[in-house]
Amino acid sequence: MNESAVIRADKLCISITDDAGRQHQLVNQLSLQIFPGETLGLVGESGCGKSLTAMSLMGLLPRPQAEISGGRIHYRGSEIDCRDAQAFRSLRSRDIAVIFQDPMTALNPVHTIAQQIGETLRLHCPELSRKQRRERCIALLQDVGMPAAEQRLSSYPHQLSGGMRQRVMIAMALAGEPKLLIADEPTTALDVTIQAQILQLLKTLQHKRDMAMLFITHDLALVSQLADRVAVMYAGEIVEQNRAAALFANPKHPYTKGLLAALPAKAAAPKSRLNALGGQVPSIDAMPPGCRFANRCDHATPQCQQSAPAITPRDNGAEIACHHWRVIDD
Amino acid sequence: MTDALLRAENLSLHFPQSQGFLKPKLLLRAVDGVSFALQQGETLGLVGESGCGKSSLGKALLNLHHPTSGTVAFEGRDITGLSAAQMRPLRRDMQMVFQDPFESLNSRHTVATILEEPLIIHRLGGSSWRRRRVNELLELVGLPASALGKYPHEFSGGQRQRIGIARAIALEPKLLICDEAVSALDVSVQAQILNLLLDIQQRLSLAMLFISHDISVVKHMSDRIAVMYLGELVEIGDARSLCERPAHPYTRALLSAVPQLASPTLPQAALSGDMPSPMAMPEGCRFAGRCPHQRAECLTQPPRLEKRHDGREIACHFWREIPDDLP
Repeated sequence: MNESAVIRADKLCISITDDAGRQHQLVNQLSLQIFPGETLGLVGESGCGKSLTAMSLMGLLPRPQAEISGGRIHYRGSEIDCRDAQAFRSLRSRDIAVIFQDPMTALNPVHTIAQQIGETLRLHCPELSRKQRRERCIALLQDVGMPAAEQRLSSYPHQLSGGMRQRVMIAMALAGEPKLLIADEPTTALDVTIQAQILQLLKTLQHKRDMAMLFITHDLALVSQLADRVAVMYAGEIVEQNRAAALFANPKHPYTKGLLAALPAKAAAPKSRLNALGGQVPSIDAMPPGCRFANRCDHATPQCQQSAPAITPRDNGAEIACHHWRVIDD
Repeated sequence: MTDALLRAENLSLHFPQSQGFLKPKLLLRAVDGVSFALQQGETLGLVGESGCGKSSLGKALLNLHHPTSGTVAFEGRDITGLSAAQMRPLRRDMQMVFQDPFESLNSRHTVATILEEPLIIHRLGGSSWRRRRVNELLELVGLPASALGKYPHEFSGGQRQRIGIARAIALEPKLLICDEAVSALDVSVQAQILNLLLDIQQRLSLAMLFISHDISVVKHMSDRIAVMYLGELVEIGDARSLCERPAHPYTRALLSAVPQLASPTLPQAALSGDMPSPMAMPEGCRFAGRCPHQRAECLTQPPRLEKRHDGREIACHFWREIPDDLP
C-alpha cells in the first residue's frame, strides 16, 4: 500500500536558525502520503508551516536558515537523502512541479512566455529541436486554455492578466509531465470567477494525467470541494487528517471544530456573533511541551499541558492528535 | 428621502492616464455614475472583483479622491469637492479602516500616540481626559493596557487591525468605511475582528460601508449588498435575498463561483475571460462581453438600474427573462 504512494513523508521535522543562532523546530513529526490521481489538501492558518512543508518535499528550503532536522521522505518507494541537493534537483526536473501563489514574482519579467516555457522544456526534453519545442509550447498553452496561444508566445508576463499568468505557470509546471504537482495557494491572488476557471483546469489536467496533487490553502470551503483527503495543520503539526467529506461533516479535533465554527457561513444568523477561537498561536520560541493547541482549547486538562498527543489513526480512517477526542466527540 | 446619512448621486471618479508625450490622455473610469443611499446604523456591503472600483468609490465618498462629477451628501449636506480644511470637522463623523493596518499605522509612533492623535487634532478634552479616553478605546477593542507603550510592529495582524479600528472609532463617527478590513486575516482572527465590528456598530449605532471581495463575509455583515462591476453598480438589494436569488447575470456568476463548504462539486466556471480594461470600456452593457445571456441590444445600449417591486435594483435589459435556475 505504502509503496504505491507517489510521495510519503515520515515524521518530518523542519528547523530554522534565527539571527541569534538559536534553533527552532517549526514543523514537528509530520507524516503524509499522496497517491496517484489523488489530491491532498493541506490547510491551516498563516505561519503554521504549510508552505515550509511543501518546500521541504521539493528540497527547496531556504538554506542554511531552514533545514530538515529529522524524518524521511520517500518518493515512489525509494528514500531520498534529505541532504542531497542533487537528488532533489533531478526529482524536480522530472517528477515534482510546483505552482505558487503569485505568478508575477515566479515568472521572469524580462523573458517572453515562449522563452520561459522553452527553458523548462529544454531541461526536461533535451532531445527536442527548436521547432518541436515551439510546437510543444503551443500545445501546452492550449492545454491550459490560453486563448490565441500562438500569439501569446511572444508576450511578456506583464502583458497578461493574473489568471493568464497563472495559466502560464501551470503550463510550465506541466512541461515535465510531473507525477506530483504541489500547488501552494495557487488561486489566492485571483478573483473568484477566475479562481473557478483555474480550479476546473487543474482538476481536468490532473484527471487526464493521473497526477498526484498537494494543494495548500487557507480557504476551507475551497479545500472541501477540491481535495480527496484533507490534513489540518496547527503550529507546525498535523492535528487531524481524514477524507474531505468526513472531515468537514464531522470534524473531531477541537482546532478543526473551532476553525469551521468561526466561518461566517456557519453563523446562526446574519449579523450575529461568530464563534471565534480565543487566544493566539504560541510563538515559535515558546512552544509548550504538551499539546500545542492546549492554551486555546476548551477541553484542555493537565495531561494536555504535559504530554503532546501523537497523531494516531482512530475510527473510520480519521487520524487525530488529541488526548480527549472521544470525550469531545460525544 | 432626506433622511439618509450618506447619499451618493451619479458619482464618478475618472483618472486621466498619460500615454506619453503629445499623445492623447486616456480616461480610466474607476467609478462611473454610482448612486446609492446609506441609512444611519445600516451596513451596506460592497462586493466586486479586483479593479472594479470598490476602493476608489470608498475614497471618493470621503473626499480622499475628489469625485470627477456627481454629488456626495452627508446628513443632507453636499460635501462634494470640499477642501481638506473644510472636510476636517466632518472627518469626526466619517472614518475609514484599511486592509493593511501595518501600512496605515505610523510605525514610529506608540499605540498611545496613534490613538491620541485624532483627539488632539480635533481639540478634544485635556490631556488627562484624552489619556482616559485612549484607555477606554483599548478596552473597547480588547487590547491590554500594556499595549499603550508599544509600537505597531510588536503586534500580530489581528491586533494591529484592532488598533486601526480603535483609531477609527476614537471620535465616535457616524459612518465607518471598512475597505477589506479583514481580508488579510486568518479565519479565527477574522471572526474575532468581525465580532468586534458588530459590537461597536451596535454600541455606537454606526453606519458601515463594508467593502470586501469575500462574499461570505459581506453576506454575514450586511443589511444590503451592492454589486459592482467595472465602475458601475449592477445590482443592489437586501443582503439575504440577493445572495439567495441574485437577478443580474454577473451577480449570479459571481455567487456561483464562490466555493461552498462541503458541497460535493467544484464551483462552476460560469464566466469565461477577464474583465475588460477600465480604459477601453465597451459601449453598451459593460458585462456583455462575458455574459451568457447577451443579445444585440446589450452591445449598444447601456442598461440603467431599474427598481423591482421588492426594492431590488438591477442594471440589466433582460433580467426578467432569465430563469431563476440558470447561473
